[in-house]
Amino acid sequence: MAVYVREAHAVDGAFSGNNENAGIVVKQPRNLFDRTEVAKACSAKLEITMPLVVDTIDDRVGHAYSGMPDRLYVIDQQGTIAYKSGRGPFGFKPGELEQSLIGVLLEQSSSSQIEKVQK
Amino acid sequence: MNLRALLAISALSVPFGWANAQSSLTDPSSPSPTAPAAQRWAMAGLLAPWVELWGDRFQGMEAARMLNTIQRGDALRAGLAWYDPGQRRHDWAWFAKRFDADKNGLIGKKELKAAPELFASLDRDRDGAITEADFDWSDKSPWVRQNGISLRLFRMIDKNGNGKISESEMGEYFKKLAGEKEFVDPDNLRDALLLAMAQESPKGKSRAKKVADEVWMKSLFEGDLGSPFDGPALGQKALDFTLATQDGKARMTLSRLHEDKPVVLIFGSFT
Repeated sequence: MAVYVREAHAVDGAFSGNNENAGIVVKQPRNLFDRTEVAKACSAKLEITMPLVVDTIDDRVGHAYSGMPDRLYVIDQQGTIAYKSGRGPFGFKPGELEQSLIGVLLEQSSSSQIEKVQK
Repeated sequence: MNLRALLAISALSVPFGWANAQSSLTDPSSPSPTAPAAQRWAMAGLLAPWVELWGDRFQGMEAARMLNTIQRGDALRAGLAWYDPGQRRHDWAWFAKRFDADKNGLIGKKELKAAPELFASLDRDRDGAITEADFDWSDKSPWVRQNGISLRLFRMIDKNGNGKISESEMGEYFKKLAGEKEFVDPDNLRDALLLAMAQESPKGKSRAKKVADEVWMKSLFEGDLGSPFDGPALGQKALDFTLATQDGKARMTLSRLHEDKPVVLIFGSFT
């Protein structure tokens, strides 16, 4: 599940040339409606198929999970943190996440024979 | 015990302080993080001179390290700044203990006993065995560096940046490499690879002056670049929350999702 948080490089913040080149010029949303609109555009442009939820405008979930500007977690079936990436952008490592997720799935399997794993 | 030490200790004891572990983060009755976040930054400000003094030996508040980096005018990139390694339960030691039956430091296909796709995924460098090297995600890992070079090359060819190189994009790149000729020669290919490799490590520790220091500071304090909180640690319980999806069609509650399978949380924004 993706959690949409504060803009990392809003036009009225630390604006990035890379975003400008890609046509992504966004002001930091000041209310939930505006943030949801940006999240919709993001979801459409990046063709995101997984559920994308939008954080409250006071960044409750973002701050609780220290998710800004980006971060990855794996939470196991006991509701415990099994993997926490370093802070993004440079700590954001999908390959490391994938290994952890495989580990969680192997740990949960009742026998060590897994025939098919849905990713 | 001096005042600074006291403040340092009190700073470290406000991790989750503001969030009640029993209720949902998004309950209207749960407190907002805005004021506690400001408090954390104030404490980070008090600790920042210690970061400056102790340098790499400073193991305390990440927020203090972040503030110090921004104040110093240091660049923000891999290997610098505050991008700590990930933490995980299922590291090489875990896999070795569980699967390396003959304790030879290699986990073979037979030892893993799982679906072939999982083995292929874990044997990152395709050398036929899962080894400790396959778990190294630091910048020192040869695989990570090679992957970086490959990605940079990919982005040079993927002109529209959609993560897919189309036949026409490959054709355009061919023309670019070939120049006025009708073919690509070994020198052209070598120079392309060298270009991808050269971009690996920009020199110098200072930030480029494209964005003003005050803007970085504001971005830091408002939470654009990072939260002053640490977030849950490995092994801790994930705090529950309920948020609406971007299309407004559903409200997702975390605790319901991890009832029957593990959940991956991906935090990010468009920019």
